[in-house]
Amino acid sequence: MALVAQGAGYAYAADTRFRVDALREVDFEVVPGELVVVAGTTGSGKSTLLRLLAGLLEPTEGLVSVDGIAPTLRAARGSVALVFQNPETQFFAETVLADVAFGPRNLGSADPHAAAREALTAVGLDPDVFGPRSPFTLSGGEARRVAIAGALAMKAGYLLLDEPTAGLDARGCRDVVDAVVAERDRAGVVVVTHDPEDFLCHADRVVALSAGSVVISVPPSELTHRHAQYESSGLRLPEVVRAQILARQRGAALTGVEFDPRAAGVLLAESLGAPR
Amino acid sequence: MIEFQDVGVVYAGSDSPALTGVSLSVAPGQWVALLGANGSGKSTLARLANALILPTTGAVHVDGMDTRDESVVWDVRSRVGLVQQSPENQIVGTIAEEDVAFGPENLGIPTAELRTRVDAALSAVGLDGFQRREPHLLSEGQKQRLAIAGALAMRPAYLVLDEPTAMLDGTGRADVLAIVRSLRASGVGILHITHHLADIASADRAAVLDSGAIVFEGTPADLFADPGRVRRLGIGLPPMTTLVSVLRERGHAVPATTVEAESLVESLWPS
Repeated sequence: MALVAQGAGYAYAADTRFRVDALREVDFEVVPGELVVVAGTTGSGKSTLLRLLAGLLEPTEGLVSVDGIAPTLRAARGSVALVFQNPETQFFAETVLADVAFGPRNLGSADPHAAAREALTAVGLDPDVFGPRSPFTLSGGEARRVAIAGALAMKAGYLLLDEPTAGLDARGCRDVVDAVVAERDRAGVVVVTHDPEDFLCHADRVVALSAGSVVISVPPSELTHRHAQYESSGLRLPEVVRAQILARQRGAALTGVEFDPRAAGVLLAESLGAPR
Repeated sequence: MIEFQDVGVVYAGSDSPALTGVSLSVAPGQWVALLGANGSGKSTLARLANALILPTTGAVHVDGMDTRDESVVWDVRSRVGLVQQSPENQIVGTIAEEDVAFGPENLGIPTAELRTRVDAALSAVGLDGFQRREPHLLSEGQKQRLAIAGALAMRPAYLVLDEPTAMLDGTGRADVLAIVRSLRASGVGILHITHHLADIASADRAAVLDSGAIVFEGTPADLFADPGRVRRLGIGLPPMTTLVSVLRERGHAVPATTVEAESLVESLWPS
């Protein structure tokens, strides 16, 4: 059981002089119960990778498979759910419940409303309160979670999200991160983002893409050893992590690295001893 | 000066006001940051500043002109530039220089002057040499800078930036903040709307909107020094601010507004 890319590549307009190689020889894997963060700047190929994994594009080299089947095939349909960037712009139903039930209904679910209610609960929205509301009256964080619930309601084994926290305020961000992280219990989750800070401390693995290739694939705790390479991909480690790396360069004796800002503050304070 | 005086706004068809009793001012050469959660009324305030909407109660004055006075509306709009959140929604030209020229061209600025203004505006946002570039080939950060150049070409006395960094990555964000700093230095008054506390550390003043009312006004340092209050106001604390407050609680001398790792380390482990 895994969603896998092996030596996968994709070229847009492959047979023309406008050919753009967006991805080259990418090896990638996510298994159920795992949260993988794919980080990369604009143009690094991260959205192309997401489309290959979702079966929206077929690789022009190598292969992609979901539990052994190509995701573009009917047999695999429904096993991978993709949440696009700003998904709330795609609401169309009159109520939140009808919008979330749309996916399972199309997949032939016996009880699409039950699936929708379950999905809303999973993203922390009470279906009795939010179900009857118009999707166009929600706050930013609520709307984003409803859109994610639309993907969850299809009960896919793999959940892919493109920039799930972009444009949300602090509370919206926190709610969406919590909902996405909770999905790891029942699916393999892939989050693609140019700003991985919100997800880093929850991730099992961080994959950095640069110019269409995977340059790093490690657990977050190992990023500090690879920070030069990470930053040369145009990415930036969270300031609290950079603070620990810089402090160490100035001679601070730090054991390990903390992603949690409070724990990082304690770690730095301990290495400083009593203030002068 | 842009002056909001006891401003209230109620949108047609809405029961609850979008803004109530808001008083705030932005002077030339001043960088005023306005924070608040989604739905707190920030964008409503932005649109009031250049008469895109008019106050239901109270008044908005721009250099003494009342925005409700129809005879001054174009004067108000040429003094107050507004850059909105999504740059795509405000790019109209097929190449960068056409896009930047659109505003001043409509004012009837002569061609030679137009050339000077467009080149200066592109240069001010670090897009020298991008004159003939097609906007859809620009990165998100470059598009946002192009939108700012479009506003600057109007030579506004004030610039209202509505979440200019919301769609940008770290580099794009730093670029936009550097532009804000240099505009302030050149005497432009800036109303900077954001929900990122980390973006406002260098602002002159900060105000916080909550449910349509101003609930804090002071210096960024006051705001950073009280993390509990910031959180209660629904604004996200930069993780560095949490880290810094742990160090400050233990007596270490770090300024509360520290948001970059380099300046933190410089305070604690001077080279």
